[in-house]
This record gives sequence, C-alpha cells and structure tokens, in this order.
Amino acid sequence: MMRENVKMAFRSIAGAKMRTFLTMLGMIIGVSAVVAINSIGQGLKSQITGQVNDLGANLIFVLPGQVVSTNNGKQSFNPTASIGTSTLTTKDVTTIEDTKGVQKTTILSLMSGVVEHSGTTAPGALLIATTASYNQVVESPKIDKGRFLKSSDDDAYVAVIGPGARDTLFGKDSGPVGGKISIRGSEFEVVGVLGSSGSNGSSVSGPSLDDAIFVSVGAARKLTGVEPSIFRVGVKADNQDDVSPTVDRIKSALKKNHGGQEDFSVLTQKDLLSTVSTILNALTSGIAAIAAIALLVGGIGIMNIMLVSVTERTREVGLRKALGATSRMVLSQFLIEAIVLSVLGGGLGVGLAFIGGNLAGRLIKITPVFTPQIIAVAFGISVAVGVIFGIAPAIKAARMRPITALRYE
Amino acid sequence: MALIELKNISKVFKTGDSQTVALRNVDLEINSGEFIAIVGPSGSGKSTLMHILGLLDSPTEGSYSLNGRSVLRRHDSQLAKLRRSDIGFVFQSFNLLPRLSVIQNVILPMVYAGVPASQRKGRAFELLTKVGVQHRAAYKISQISGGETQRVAVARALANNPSLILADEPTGNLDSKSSQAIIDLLKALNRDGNTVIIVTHNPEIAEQADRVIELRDGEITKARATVPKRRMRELDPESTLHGSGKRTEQRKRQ
Repeated sequence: MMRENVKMAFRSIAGAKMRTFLTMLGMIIGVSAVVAINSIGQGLKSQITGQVNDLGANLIFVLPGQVVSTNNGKQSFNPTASIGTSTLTTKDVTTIEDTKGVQKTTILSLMSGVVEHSGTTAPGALLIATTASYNQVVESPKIDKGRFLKSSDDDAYVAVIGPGARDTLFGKDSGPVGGKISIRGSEFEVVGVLGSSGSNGSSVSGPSLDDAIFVSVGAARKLTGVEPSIFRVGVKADNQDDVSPTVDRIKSALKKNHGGQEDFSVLTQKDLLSTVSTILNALTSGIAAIAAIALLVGGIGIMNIMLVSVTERTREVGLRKALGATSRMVLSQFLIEAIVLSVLGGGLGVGLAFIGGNLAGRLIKITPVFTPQIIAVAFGISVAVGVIFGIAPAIKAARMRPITALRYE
Repeated sequence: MALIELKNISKVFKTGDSQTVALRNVDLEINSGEFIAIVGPSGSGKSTLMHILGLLDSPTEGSYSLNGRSVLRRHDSQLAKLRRSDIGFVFQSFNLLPRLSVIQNVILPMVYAGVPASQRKGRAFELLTKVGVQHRAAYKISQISGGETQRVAVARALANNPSLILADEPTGNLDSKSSQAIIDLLKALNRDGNTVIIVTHNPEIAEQADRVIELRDGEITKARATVPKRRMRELDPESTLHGSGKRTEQRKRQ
C-alpha cells in the first residue's frame, strides 16, 4: 500500500501542475531569499573579520575624535567622530613613540586629488600620505614588486601603489615600477607595487587598500604646502600580550597632551573587531528580519494555495473514501504528497539561494558564506508550513462522513 | 435471505436549532438480483436513503443489514472495506478524479481493495470494454463526453465485483440518448445478476425497473411492481416490502 500511496502522490502532484507550481513557488521564494541574504551577510562579516585579522595581532590604532563612547554602561560607536579636523598632532605622535611598550609608529593622512597616467585617471584611488615605517607597523599587504617608501625618500616624489590602482592606471599585469604617474599635476615615480590585500573593496566594507597610493608625508607637505592632518596613528606594540596595558599608557599620556580631554580613540584589533562585529550583527539581524518576512510571505503563499484547494481536496478525500479507501490510506497519500512537494520546493529554494547568493556576491564583490544552520532553519520552516497546511484539510476531511466530504462546498 | 434489510431507519439533520427529518421509519427489503427505482420529489429523502444504503452516511436510528450482517456503527476501516467490496456507486455528478486517466479511475477501487497490480489493468480494460469506452482508456476525464464519463463511472462501480450497484440520479446530467444508454447498461448488468438500485425522478426510467419505491417527506408512500413490462421470472418471488406478504398478494391480483 505504501508504494501505491507514493505512486498516487506523485500522480496527484503531476496532475495538478498549477497547484504544484504555486505551492513550490512559495517555498522557493521564502527559502532562497532567507538563505541567499544570509549568505551575503555572513560573507561580508567573514571578509571584514579577515581584513582586520590580516593587519597583525599587536597593532594599535590611534584615531582623532571619540569613536567609541560609553554612557551608562551602554557602548555606542560613532565612526564620523574621526573624520574632520584632526585632534592629533605630531607632538602626540612623538609622545606615543616614547610610551613604554611601543615598538614603532606610523601616521596615515588622507589626501584628495586627481591621479593620472597618460590620460587615464583612477577615480577610486585612495591617496595616503604615510611614513616609511608603515610597512613594518601594518603587516598587510606586503610589497609585491619594487620597494616601499624609505626614510631617505624624504620629500621625493615617489609613490607605492596597490594592485587595483596599478590595474586601473597601467592595465593588468604590467610592471609599472619606474613608471610615472601624475598626482595633483606633479609627476611621481612608482617605486613599488603592493600585493593584493586579499579582499575587495565594496560599497559596504569601504574602499580597499588595493586601490591605495602611498606617498611620503614629506612629499605630501611639499605638494599641498600644508602639514597633512593626521587621520590615523598606527602603533606596533612590542609584545602581543602587552597590548592592553600599552593602550592604557598611550591613553593617559595623550590625555596629558590634550589637557585631560579624551578627544581621541585608541583601538586594538580586538576593539575593531568587536565594534565591527556589533555593527555587522545589527546589520545581519536587520537583514535576517527582512529575510524572515520573505519566508513569511512564502509561507502565506503556500497556505493560500493549499487553502484554495481545500474544497477540491476535501471532495477528493470524500470520493476516495466512497471508493473504499480507509482514512489512513487517504491521509498517508496526502502526507507523502505534501512532503514530496515541500522537500522539492525547499530543495529548489536552497539551490536557487546558492545561485542567487553567488551572483549577488559577485556583483558586490563579497564571497557568500552559506551556513548549514540557516539552510536548516529556512528549509525546516518552509517544509513544516507546507506539510501542515497540506495535510490539515485532509485530516479534517477524513474525519467527515464520506458524503459530507464529497458534497463539501 | 434478503440482500438488504432496512428496519425503522430514520435520519434527522440538525442545523443549529432546527431539525430536518430526511427519513422517517423506513423499512425496506431488497433481494439479490432486483432492479429497483427509488422515486419522489426533491427533498423526499431518496438521496439520503441512497447514501445510507451505500454506507456514505449513517442513519440516526434503525438497523441495516447487508448480506445478513449488520453494517451500522462499524469502525472506519470496516466500513471502507464494505464500501470497496460490496458496493459500487454511480453519482449524478460522475465524481471521477479529473486529473487521472479513464483507466486509472477504474483501477482506483482495485488499488484500495488490494487487487494485485498485475491484474488491475486487464480487469479495468475488460470493464471498459463491457461499458463500451475501451477506446478512451488513456484519455483524461476532461477529454471525454458526459455519456462516456458516466459509462466510466459504471465501470468503476463494477471494479471489485460488488453485490450491489447504487446509482444516484445517474442520468441527471445527461441528454436523453445518453440517459437511455446508461439505463440500458444498468439493465444489462442486472440481467447478468447484479442488484441495481437507482434514484431517479424520470418516470420513464422508473417504469423500466422491477420495482418502484416512492418516497415523500421521508416515508415510503407507495411501492409497486412494474410486472407487466417485465417477465415474471425476473422477479424474485421472495421479494417483499415491509417484510410482509403484501407483494405476493399484489402480484396475485395482477
């Protein structure tokens, strides 16, 4: 009888093509939306986490402005605090350098200006003025060709460019070391190319270091005629285990410089990660909420189509019973039908999520990460909805007298 | 022994506070091999009687024995077994599964009865040949005419060789030509020994039965044999109404 029921279930699914299609559509939309959206969120998270981790474990960043503030035990994050006129000075940099536990420092200043190579501009380029020590403080990315800035470069017009900027300005796979680029109208010689940072810039995670163009602080001063404003101070601690006390020492030393005010932030990798995670988790839960709505809508779609066919199905139950089927025979057929339909729909949904997630990921340059948990949850919910709403009318109909079910309207 | 024995059958429908009496103290005996027509105005309870006879509904009161066994207040699975082995039902609105093919519809009761898969197709085709629609075996129900549909329904009713064929207004949705063809088919089945009960309100059709039972307001008002139109030997001499010898008297008078 089991084989007969499976056969009958498949015959019924194949017979009611429109109903089958609409029911599965609900599952496909719900499951694929949840899984695909989640995979993008997870991909974004792992990408940013990876980026931060690449920088090195004993790296400390000092930022102008109070980026992280704690009020009544509630931590809030305000990244815009570090933008604008810097509160950090060269005197602060010297203070940090002199602090116990600090091995090396570097400064990062952002510049704006047109970068050009024989008529080709690089609008996405990130112009950074830094010191020769940058490459020793920030461990990633390493130099790929040529060399990094040297202290002997002083205010010479030399530049180190990222692979993204190289591709834009010189074309792919060319060796531009020794080539010339123009920054704000002045000619700079390319002395080195950085390796890929291993992550792509995106509209969400911000520009990538792949597009960076590094010049020396001296060159920047000469080019712009003003002292570059300090955007970040990169600090390398002597010892990975000594990072936290070093942060405290930097804080108290800088506070003295700033008349007791903490108008700066000292962040470690961990802080960065936790801040980033906080934001990303909020983002992911927001996205998950949207995805849950998709799942709900899909579920309602499934319910609708199942309820629309209740009359037809109730009569079918009545008829099958009139022809001599027991309630159990009819119910097991309907149950198999609902399971087959739901599993098929949910499976197609997961499949579509893989395709959609990868496609969307390629578009916004994020590698989607598919977690088994979210697949299980989305698949489980949609199958549960499908089975419950598929079998419920049949249970009700099977309890009726055959004639009542047969004449159901 | 009578094939069907109804005693004091009543059926009351309750909707909210109001009660509708569909059948009132109906006694009826039907013998094997009879061809019976149940007539009466709409609302007289003839369909309800049919559904009770076909075990699709249960009476509020009374007793019903089929083949000498009481069949009321049985478990779902026992009723299902009786329905598939003892009763073949033909409905006014055909009630075939539209998504299945003609032959699949005929096979369905065999599946439920546990007929081995190897025998089903052959038997179904035999039955379709018997009712004259073997050339439609592979068609979908929606692709064949009303007359053909009802023939398929008759073939399905015969699937498990039941002792009783019940037809509830089998010609209600058919034109007169198809109607007569269906009635002829049922008559032929009756000649082969099947017991046939039909509900109709077409007097011409009723006249072709051995016996006409007239219902009005849930009660049997008249029962008469239509002997002149049929040969005497086709009637079972034991066939009685209300379990008395009334029927024999009637026939003597004729």
